[in-house]
Formats: sequence, C-alpha cells, structure tokens
Amino acid sequence: MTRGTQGTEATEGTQGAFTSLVSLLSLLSLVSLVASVSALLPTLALADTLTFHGDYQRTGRFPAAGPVAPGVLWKFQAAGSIVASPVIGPDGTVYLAGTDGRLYALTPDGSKKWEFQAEESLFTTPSLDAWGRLYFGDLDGWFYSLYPDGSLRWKYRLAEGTDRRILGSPAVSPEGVSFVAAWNNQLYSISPDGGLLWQAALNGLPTGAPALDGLGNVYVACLDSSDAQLAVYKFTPISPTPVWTCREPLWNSSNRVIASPAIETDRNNLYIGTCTNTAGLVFALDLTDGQVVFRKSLPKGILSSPAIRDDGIVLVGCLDGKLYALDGQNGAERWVYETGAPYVFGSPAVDRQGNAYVGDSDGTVHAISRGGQRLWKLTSDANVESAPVVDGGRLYVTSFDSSLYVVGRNANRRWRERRR
Amino acid sequence: MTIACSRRRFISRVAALGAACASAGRHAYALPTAPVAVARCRRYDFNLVKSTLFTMFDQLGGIPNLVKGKTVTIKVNVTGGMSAPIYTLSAVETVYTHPIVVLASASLFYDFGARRIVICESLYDLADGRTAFQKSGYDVAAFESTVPVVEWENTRNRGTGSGYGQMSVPGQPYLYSRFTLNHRYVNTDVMVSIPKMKNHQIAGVTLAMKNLFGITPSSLYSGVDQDEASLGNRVAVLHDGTIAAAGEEVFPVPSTLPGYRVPRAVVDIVSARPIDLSVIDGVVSMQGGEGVWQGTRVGLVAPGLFIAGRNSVCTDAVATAIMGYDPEAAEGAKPFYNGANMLALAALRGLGTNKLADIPVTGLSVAQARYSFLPVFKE
Repeated sequence: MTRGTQGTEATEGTQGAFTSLVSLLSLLSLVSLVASVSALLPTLALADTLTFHGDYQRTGRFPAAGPVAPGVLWKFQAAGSIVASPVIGPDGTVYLAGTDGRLYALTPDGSKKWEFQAEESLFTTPSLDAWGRLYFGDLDGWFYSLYPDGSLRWKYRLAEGTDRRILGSPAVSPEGVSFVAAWNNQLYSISPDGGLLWQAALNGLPTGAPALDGLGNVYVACLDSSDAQLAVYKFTPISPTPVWTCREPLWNSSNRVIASPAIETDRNNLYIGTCTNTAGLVFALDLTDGQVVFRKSLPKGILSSPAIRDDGIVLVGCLDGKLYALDGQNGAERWVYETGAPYVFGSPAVDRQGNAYVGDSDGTVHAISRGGQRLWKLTSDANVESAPVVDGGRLYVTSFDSSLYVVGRNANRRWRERRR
Repeated sequence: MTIACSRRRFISRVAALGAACASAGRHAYALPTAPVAVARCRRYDFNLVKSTLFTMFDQLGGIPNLVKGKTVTIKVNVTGGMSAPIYTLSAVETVYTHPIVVLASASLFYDFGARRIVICESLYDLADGRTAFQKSGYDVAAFESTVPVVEWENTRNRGTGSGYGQMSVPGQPYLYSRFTLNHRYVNTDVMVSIPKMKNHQIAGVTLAMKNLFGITPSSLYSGVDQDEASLGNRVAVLHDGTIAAAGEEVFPVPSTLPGYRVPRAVVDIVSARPIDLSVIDGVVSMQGGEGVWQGTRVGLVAPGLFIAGRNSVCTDAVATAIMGYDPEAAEGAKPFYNGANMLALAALRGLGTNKLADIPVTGLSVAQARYSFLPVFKE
C-alpha cells in the first residue's frame, strides 16, 4: 500500500484499476437502490446514535430516555482536546474523536477498547453506517473508514488545493455512500469502497454537517461571502447538480454558517441557524423547493444546530446565553430558557420524553423539561460546546477539559450538582 | 529625528544581558524561563477581572516592585480599526484587547504605585490618543476616574513626541538591526503587552510578542518617508520587504516571503523592545485569524482565560499550548501553516524557552485550561 496525494488507500485487496470499476458499479447500483431501499428506510435505526446530532436528519432527537438524576457514572480523560460529540455504536461502544488526531473506542463502562491515530486533528463526530463501520475526516483532508474493531478499511484524500479541512460529520446513506463537505468549497460523494463518486462546488466554506432526508437527498449550507447570503443546497444522492439552491440575504460577509441543517420529514422542513451582523436568524425551508417557510430573528448569533422535538418544536441555542423553543410551523417562541451563562455555542439534544439537554460557556449542562423548566444542571470546570448525546438512560457530554462525561443514575458527584 | 535611550533602560538591559550570559555560561543550552500564571475568568466584569489578575500577579511575584514609581507603557491590541461584529459580538469584545482588561491591569499598576501609565496603540485614526481610543470603544473617562495617572498615545506615528526614538537589536538580527519608534515605547521603564489570544494568518498565533509588531509607526514602516499623516499598513516593508526601512534592514534582504519575514520581524522587535510583563486576554476571542478581514475563515471562541507572565516567549508558549498547538512545532505544521514558528525563532535568539516542560505554570495547568482553536486557513 502506498500513499498518494489524492485518492484512496485500501486495506482490502481491491485497489488500483478495480477501484474505479467498483465505484462505477456502486454508482449504478445506487441509482436503483436509492429509489427503492432508501424509501423503505426513512431513518436508520440500528443504533440510537449514528452521527452528529443522532440521526442523519440531524434532528438531535434520541429515542432513548435521558438521565432522571444527575451524576457522573464515569469520565474518560483523553490525551488531547475533545471538541466534538461522541457517537454510540449499536453494541454500546462509545467513539470519541480528539484534536490530537486520536479516535477512541470505549466500552460502555468507559474502558478503552482501541484507538486509531489519524493523520491530523479531528474536530468532528464520527459517523456510523448500518454495519457499525466508522466514517470521519481530519483537518488535512483525509477521510477515513474504519471497521468496528478499529482497523482501517480505507482512507481517501480529498483533492489537492488550499485548505481542505473537514469540520462537519459526514452523512452516510443506508448504502454506505458518504457525503463529506470540506473547506476547499466542495461537497464529495464517496462510494462505499472509498472511491470518488462525484463532487460539487459550493460558494463558501461548509462547516456544519450535511444532512439527509428520507429519500437520501443531501442538504448542505454555507455563507456565500461574495454576496453575503446564506446558501443552502439540495442534491440528489447521485448528482453533483443541485436540485435547488436557496439563497437568503444575511447582510454580512464574514460570519460563516457554523450550524448543521436539521430536517423534519413530517413537516417537510429544513431548519438552520445563522447570523447577520446584528442578530441571529433561524430559517425554515421547504424541502421540496427550498422556499422560505419562515425566518425568525433572535437577539444574538446562532452557532447551534437546531434540535427538533417529536411535536415539531424546534430548539436552538443562542449567543445571548439562552435556549429558544420555536414553533416549527411559524417560528413563534414557545418558551425561552436562560442558562445564566454569557453564551450557548453548542447544540441541544432531545430525549424520548422531549426533555432537552444543552451545554453553555460556563461549563454547565442543563436538563430542561418539555415546558422549558430546569430539571437539573451539572457544572464542570471547562466549557461545554458540544451537543450532548442521549443513549440508554445516559447523557454523554464532552467538555473542553479533554473529557467525556457520562451522566446517569447512581453516580458519584464529580461535577457540581445543582438541583432545581 | 531624535535618538533617545534612557540611562535607566540602558542599565537594565546591560544587567539583563549580563544575567543571560551568566546563565548561558552555566548551562550551555538553558534558555531563560519564568513562571506563567493561568486563570479562569468568563466575564468582562471589572471587579472579577481585577481580582483575577491580582491573584495572577501575586503568583508571578514581583509585579508591585516592577511598577512602583515607574512609567508603565501598555501596548494593547486594537487592530484594524472599528470593524464589523464577529457573530454579532462586537469587535471590542472579540477582536480587540477588551477595555476592562486594560482598565483592571492599569488599576492594579496604579494601586501598586505606578507613577505614570501610558496606554498605547497604533490606531487607524490620526486623532490624538485620547480621542482615537474613545472612538475605538474605550471609555477613556472611566479610565481617568479610576487611574488618575493614565495617559493615552496613538502611536500610529510620532504622536505627542518631538521626535522618534531608536532601539537596537542586540546581537545578530534576523532582518532589522534597529527600530525607530514612537517615544512612548522608548522612554519608559516598564513595557507591558496586553494582546488578545488569537490566531494570525501568517504567524500562526498572535499573542504577547506579535502584539509588538504594531509598535512600528506607519510613517516609517509603510513605505512612505516620514509622512506623519500616514495610516498605511506595514505590508510592503515588514511583510514583503519590497521597500526597505531606511538604514535599518540587514543587507542583502534575506527573503521577501511574508512567512519568513513576519515571524523574524517580530523577534527582532521584541529583542529591541523587550516586554516586561505579558497579560493575554483570552476571555472571548476569535479563531482562525486576527481580524474580520479574514472573512468566513474566522470563528468565535470563549476560552474564559487569562495567561500572564514576565517572559513573553514563555507566556506565548503556554498560551500556544492552551490553544491546542505544539509551541515547538515546525514551520508548516499546525498552527504555523503559513510561516515560521516565531516562538522557536525567539528561543533560538535566546529570549526565552518555548519548551513547555521547562516553563513553570501556576494556577490552572495547560491541560485544565486547554481550549482548542482551529488553525488558520492553509494557503
């Protein structure tokens, strides 16, 4: 195996000339599969969490219940910083990416199973496919797929050019096709065996994660600094030509779109948070044609990816330190939760009961009821800017103190607990 | 042009040089090191910031003696003129050294007995210092009521001085043998650098040392000859070397690449104009660049930190590590994608160590304080 500046390194025996053939066959098979299999699999459900914000619609909605009482079951201290949220495999394995380039696999009780060293820093949550295989990208444009045992399936180098960092979790279709956005202003479609299927040019630096709808269509957002507009793209899984591009003025040319889009298939809406120079803006777009359903102004900028409750309420964090619950149909405020911290950078998560969990810049994680009341909160010594993950009655939260905290029942009290 | 170098400054520099030589003689490879204090502070609240800095200065030791009865010059970072907000937060909060941090520092120096405190920056304005700082978001009246001995200087050019002063680079310079500066940077007893904790597109990070890049006046370092009305940047002279600073640049010019020149110019400047105390404002800041002119490449961060130390190389090395980078990283590696590692160059010059293991850190450890910044855009 030799490393090229572009293309795939595989650990299986099918490289070289076979790679493109396999990619072509994969593409052809996808055309038929997407219309049939994907339609039957509106959501993947083998694991409760598959990627950043739970599912590939990036709803931040988890089918499990969250912890009813706060307390830390266990804590994992990584060697380097942890910026991204973890993902939990179908067997309970916890996957965690570090900015030192290490990807950790932990047992459900917090013991390290293995670690994988990437070429460069990892700032993204890994994604899982239906077979529990991992997909993630690094700051230098390497995109990896690992087997669940930590061995490398393949890695693909995005095209040479300027900065090609990958900051958003890839979206992985039921067929194993990955959609990866990188800072060379490109969206890539990577075949299940690690070959390039297509790539599409974007008019800005994509920072959030691409999202998929129930038909496998791909949505990605960025700020087009040339005309200071939000640009949201919809692609079919098989073509680099956008189905539509929604462009909406943001009146600033520097505040890139940090958040990932969230998709509500029942209402056929996409939600995304953005910034003007003076306010935050939440957009709801119609998935079919990209038309604006509503735009809701918030007092400060939004870096937080929206979470969508099962009743359609949209939750979004704001740089005014508050969590907003908005009506998913018209953007009307249902309630506002004040964290007490200056900022909410991170994205909220929602559990089976509709309880919300969000971290703040004071290092506190808040559990909030459906009605917007505090259930409990826990405070760490470092910022919590990642999105919490709910799985099996536990809450998984990464903090800037390089740690993963697992919150649940009957735990000790390593964080300072404050009940309501 | 006047040439000014105070006797006190001369004596202190000779003494420092002697100490460094003595140290080098005892330990052939030992570089100067000094404690660095790291503390958590999540809000720009005057009392909170002042009490935090008081504790940090206490941990560092000797700050009252450093400033008592002295003229203290504070170089802040108010780069780029009044600019657009970063993700709806004002430039005063995200791009500039926050006024509260400067006020709290100046207030402590005053409490410690400083005789005169001069707040300086090369502002994108030809107005006098007081007016220009007020226009840049600094509440000068609040400063003057809290710190009666405060003075303001817009060091864009000659300012209130009758002429410029000169400071020479000791030993073998990288690019410049001396610098011609606003008198406030020359005629002072204590030089304090209070930067924002940020990335820099060319230098990788902009901290206490890089903050002094801006002490070079536009009239002499923007490619115009002693034009006191100049607001020009320093690209042609310091970045690109396409125009020489008269009589000061080594010949032949080693390189015209900004990635080569900017880090070396910083080390030359800090060699000529040493920093006595660094206080890095990392409460709220930006990542991926030093100003809004980097457009969508920059992001918002809220590390909630202060980092302070007497040795600027050590202080910057600790801050660099807290930002998630290796302060000993080679050129081309994160975060020094687009230029040389100025910390390593400063260490090579003997200004201080950039080896984390050799720097005593008080307060929070680097691991406790770590807040990973995204690196700058790789050109």
